[in-house]
Amino acid sequence: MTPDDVSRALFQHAPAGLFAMSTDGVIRAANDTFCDWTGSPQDDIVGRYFLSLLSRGSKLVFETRFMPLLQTRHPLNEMLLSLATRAGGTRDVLVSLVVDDSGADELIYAAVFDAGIRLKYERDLLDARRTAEAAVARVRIMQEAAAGLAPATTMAEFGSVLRVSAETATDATVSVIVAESDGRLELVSGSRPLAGSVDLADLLPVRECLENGRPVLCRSPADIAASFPTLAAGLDAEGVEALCLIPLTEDGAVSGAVACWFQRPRMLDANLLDLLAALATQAAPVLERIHLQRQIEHQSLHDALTGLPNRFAMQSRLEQLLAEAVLHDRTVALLFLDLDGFKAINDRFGHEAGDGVLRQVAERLTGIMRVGDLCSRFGGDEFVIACDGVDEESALEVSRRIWDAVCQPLHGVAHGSTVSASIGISVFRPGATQAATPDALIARADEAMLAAKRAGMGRDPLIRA
Amino acid sequence: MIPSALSGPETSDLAAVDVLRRNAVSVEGDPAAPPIVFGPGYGTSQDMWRLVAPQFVGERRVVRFDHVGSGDSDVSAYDRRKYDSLRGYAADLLDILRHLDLHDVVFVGHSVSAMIGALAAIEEPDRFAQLIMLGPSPRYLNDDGYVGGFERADIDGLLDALEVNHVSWAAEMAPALMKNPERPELAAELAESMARTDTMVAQHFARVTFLSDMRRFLKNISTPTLILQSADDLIAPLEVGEYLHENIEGSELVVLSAAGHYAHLSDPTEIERQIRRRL
Repeated sequence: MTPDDVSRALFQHAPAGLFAMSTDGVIRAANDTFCDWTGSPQDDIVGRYFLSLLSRGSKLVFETRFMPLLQTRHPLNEMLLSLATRAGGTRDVLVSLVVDDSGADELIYAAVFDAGIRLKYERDLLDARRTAEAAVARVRIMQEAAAGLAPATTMAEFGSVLRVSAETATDATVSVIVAESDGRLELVSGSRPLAGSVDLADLLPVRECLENGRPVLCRSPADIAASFPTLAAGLDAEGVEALCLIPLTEDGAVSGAVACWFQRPRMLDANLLDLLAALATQAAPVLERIHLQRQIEHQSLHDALTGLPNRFAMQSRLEQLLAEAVLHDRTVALLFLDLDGFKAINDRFGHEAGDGVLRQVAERLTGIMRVGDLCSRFGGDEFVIACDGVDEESALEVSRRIWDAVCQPLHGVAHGSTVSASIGISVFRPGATQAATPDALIARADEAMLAAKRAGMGRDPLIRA
Repeated sequence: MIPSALSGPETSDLAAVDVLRRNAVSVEGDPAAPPIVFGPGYGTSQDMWRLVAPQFVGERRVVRFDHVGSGDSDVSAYDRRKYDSLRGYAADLLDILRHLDLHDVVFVGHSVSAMIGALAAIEEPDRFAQLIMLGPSPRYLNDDGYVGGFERADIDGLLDALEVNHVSWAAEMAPALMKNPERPELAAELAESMARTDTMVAQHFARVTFLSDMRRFLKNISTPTLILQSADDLIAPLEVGEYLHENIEGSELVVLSAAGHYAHLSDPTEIERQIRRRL
């Protein structure tokens, strides 16, 4: 064999695929090894786009990732690509390309190596790395959630931590929704779709999640249209193309939801759903704790029997009211009310009946209060009412309405009996009142009440400035 | 509600200079001339328009930009939530147009930029005079009678390939590039640009590009639209061009004979001619 023959044989039979293509990607020559690997004869390969010999995934990566680089005429080394063989299979190869612009035609030379074993190894590594990275990401999200949730004392803090964690996990817009003890739904963190047109309680995916206590999933606009036809157009207009709601539970009962609103169709695979469920599970005891804290806070400021604010709450609220009154030069009227005839009912019908009377009086008082007025049970059968922006004359009016309401016949065990009330009033007038502190104002009203009671004034209260 | 949703003129409170830096916006030509804006395709930068865009400098205000995460954009602005949808990119495009105060815009978008331009034009039709789509696709996945050209497994293959290739890319390609003695400046530039586009962004952008479904928005396009479709585009098969033509009212479809997916590089003269025909 002449050196030329050897060169030719080397080109055809080297243990590497070799081919040349023009810069627009059309194959101009290829060796036997390469043709064998593709399963197509020489004359079938020459004239074809190199891209057409690749599997579709490789086509995409080559065209979008490598072609732009090749267009700037620099070499590409060891691209891992997958050839689509004529028989319908694939063959993983490593491809290196150089551009030769020394001749009349610019040509790209390619060396192709079988990478079946190496690529399998790389893929195994890749799978292992992906699994590891997913696990690390998951652990990090859970750790950050745990670290953020532990010190959370308010619903807003709780919601914010949970929302950020869920957003990191999903890349979605997340809303955290919590059901209050009265059943009202509150958006504690994040924004939600259809905020301007649909009440939170009527947002069907939320409702379904809370009612069934199960995740609600829509992976595409078509899914949304099928599950929630009435909301589909509105959600579409706001760019929601997939959604996923995971229930939050408290003591086994559903008490809220983490809602993820996606801007494109999403697979919502088991890994993602597991992670969200794990977040929800982690959040549950914290939600319970915050609700408990709220309850305790409520209890410390409210009278357990009537549900009215207690003496402590009245004192601190009054302090605020007086400060604001000074600021805005407004009057504040304080009405001190002590029931007459309550002891007799208590003695005659028992304590339970007495409790019933106190509850009825509380209801009647709150029934005639204006928004912004504060009605408290001060202790025993004493009630204190603060009215912002009310002067002596109006206070008299209020006290008469109160007296009329209190004196109506009672229901329940003490049915048909009546109680009455003695009322004393003190009015705070910025700059002109001696009693400028809450305690002093209350004491003045208390004095007035006692004086009214001694004088048997009934419907007519006494006023002490 | 969505932070990146296109919500009126106050989409972004960034200063103009920040927007221009974020998207590596370049502006050439007469500031008083009507604008033409070129948008890059997936995985590419504004440099891909180098053979076409300069041809218009004499008569137009020529604007090019990079999508956040690609090219010379500010990668630190890459917010996964915002860019989890093409709407995030469309909001950026509108930012650019607003900050440059551009109206009667001729927008030329390659590949994914065609759909990004369409979303922006749907949001603010008054700013756009023409949409010119080069190798566009509203949906890459085949779907119940629709030919997009790809199956879900193909996209997974792409995501895999991006990742396995990143290893050889980062470790081997950059030094190999440096050995290219003829064009050291080119090599350095490319190595740098590749280092910038990290695999994570490329993968996320790939998911958003190839898994989004823009078909139902097509009926909302009111801007006159030219679809330039290569007969041999392996990313967007001919059926896709025909589908777009049928679903964008009043659109014009031009099939280019053999220009591949990068017709603006392989046949820049023809692309320039087609654009000019619509001005």
